[in-house]
Amino acid sequence: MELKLNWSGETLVAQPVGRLDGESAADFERQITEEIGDHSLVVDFAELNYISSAGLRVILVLAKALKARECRLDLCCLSHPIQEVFRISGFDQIMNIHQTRKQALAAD
Amino acid sequence: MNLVQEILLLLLDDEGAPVVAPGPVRLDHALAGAALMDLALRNRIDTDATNLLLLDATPTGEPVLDGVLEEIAASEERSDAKVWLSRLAERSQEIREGALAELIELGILEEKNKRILWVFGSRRYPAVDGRAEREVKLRVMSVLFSDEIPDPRDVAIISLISATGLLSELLSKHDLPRAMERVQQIRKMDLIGREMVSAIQNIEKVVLTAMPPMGAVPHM
Repeated sequence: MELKLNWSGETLVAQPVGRLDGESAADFERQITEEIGDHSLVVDFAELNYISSAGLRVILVLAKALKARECRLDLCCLSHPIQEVFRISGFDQIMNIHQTRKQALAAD
Repeated sequence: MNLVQEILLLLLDDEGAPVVAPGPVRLDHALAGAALMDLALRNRIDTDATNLLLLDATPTGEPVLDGVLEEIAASEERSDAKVWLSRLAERSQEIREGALAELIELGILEEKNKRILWVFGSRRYPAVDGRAEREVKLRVMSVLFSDEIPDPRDVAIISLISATGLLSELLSKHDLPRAMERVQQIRKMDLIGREMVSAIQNIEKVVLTAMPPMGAVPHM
């Protein structure tokens, strides 16, 4: 998995490319944790085509850590298969999910 | 402590007697689920809807988990979490006895020979140190009665507590209905937990269907 990291004002935008799974989840978390400080995070799923249980867990861990620091986590641009994984696991009920990156950034 | 040890501890009171008797189907699947969820939390395995994959065969240093890990590593065919739950549930006695031995070794339980006792056979396992159990209970309560985002370990333990029927022991009659919606939300979050609950429900449904209604005279 490649991870593109960009700042949009005070918000870090992370765009994983390819697969977020047991092989890549720890690296995904490490790179974001090293960069984010006390800022909010948008994860743009536009170029992610697969997420496993380990991928979902790392999203949960980041969401919890950000909430503890009173920072936001917003997700956007989920493909249909990934939306389905989020629905089955109930993540769509506890995460802030947006159609577009613009909407996700505006929510911050 | 690993999840197999945690759920066994929760199932025993301070005197070593079972708090609830979950029945063999629930207990077998809960122990299998606990082992798999713990290996997933340690990044040894990963799952999706169709596969359970080995990520890392490095031993954890905990014999019960390592036995399961070795079995997964040695398997030549790819299977999903449901298949592994069923396979491991068949040898839950080995998992249970191994985990109890580990808890004794850790100084958390001691073994005393007494009569009776449910699936733990003729022995009691009184708690030497009840702190670990109290900490788990406090953690579960704080997740159930808040809107905090649970961490993956909390998700796993709440799935296990729900599967074994321990919720009604942990929560008062007043609190139980209030917590159920949250429990259902949390236990969906982990694929192995979902498959574990689904397997238990399916088996129990089959058993219920096979039982004659009360008062019916069985065909000879």
